[in-house]
Amino acid sequence: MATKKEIIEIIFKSIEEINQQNDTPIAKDINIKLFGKESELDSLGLVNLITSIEEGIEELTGNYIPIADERAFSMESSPFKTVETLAIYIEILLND
Amino acid sequence: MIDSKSTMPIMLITGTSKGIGEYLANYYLNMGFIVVGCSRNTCKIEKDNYIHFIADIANENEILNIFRIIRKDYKRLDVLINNAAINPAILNVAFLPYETIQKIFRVNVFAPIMFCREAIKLMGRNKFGRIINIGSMATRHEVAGEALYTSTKASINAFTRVLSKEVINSGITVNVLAPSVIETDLSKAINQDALFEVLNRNAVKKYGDLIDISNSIDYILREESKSVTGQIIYLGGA
Repeated sequence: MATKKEIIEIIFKSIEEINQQNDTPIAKDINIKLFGKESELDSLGLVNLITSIEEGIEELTGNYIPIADERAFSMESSPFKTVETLAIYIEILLND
Repeated sequence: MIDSKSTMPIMLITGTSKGIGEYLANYYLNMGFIVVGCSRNTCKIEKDNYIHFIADIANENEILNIFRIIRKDYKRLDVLINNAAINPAILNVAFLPYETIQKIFRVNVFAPIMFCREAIKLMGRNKFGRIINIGSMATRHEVAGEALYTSTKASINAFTRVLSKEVINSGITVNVLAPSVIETDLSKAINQDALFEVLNRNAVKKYGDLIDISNSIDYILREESKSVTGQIIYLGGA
């Protein structure tokens, strides 16, 4: 179990991690776009971010939870849209 | 070989209890790799840098568990060789049981895709990776009675070519290596007359050697082979 605040901290830590590898860093902002036309990340950047977040969640909770699951891709509004929507989605996954 | 920054490269090979997988595990252990292997059964390899998982790769959770340990213990993966495959008895399509179709697709297609999915997550972070999917000359020769096995390998060929385009900017190459017939339990189970009839269609009309496979993989693994990707490499001139 993790709170939304803890999840956002994990996401920001993961953003810091991928910023070290990227020439154009993205801001640690809950409204930053992660997916779609206005996204600051390319598809591989998003893969790296999600992987890092999954590891962070595993470290915190002891459970490996694949974030990019079937439900995430079948939702009308993508949970990967912003940091905030992603945090809300991870919270739902952790409460399942 | 491999990135000079990696002193002990990590290689994951599926199907290491016998045949090509066992050979490759021993070969790369001797080359200084840490090899993580898996198979449905126990494995004869007993070396310090070898880690074995008894796993049913038709089960997603068992695949995820292997990656969980790799992530935890090594935090990276340099090479994935998707070797494990099954080839049920040659059957005319008219007699194929649905369960057999599902089983072979789970092991020969779904599992390698899952292994690739998890591997690229680890490889992408280091901007380096080599994925080798073991294919088959069956996709060249299209032999009657082998529709199911051939279609699984053709699926992996197509998957490999598309994946190579998705991951090249992460320093990851993805190729298929399709060996000629090697004397393994898998090839012994096939009708020998049919086998030699097919072998005769190759430029090299005799059994292949295991060293042909490791030699080709050595080439793919080289740092300089960074643009060798999306290729289906047929050995024996299929």
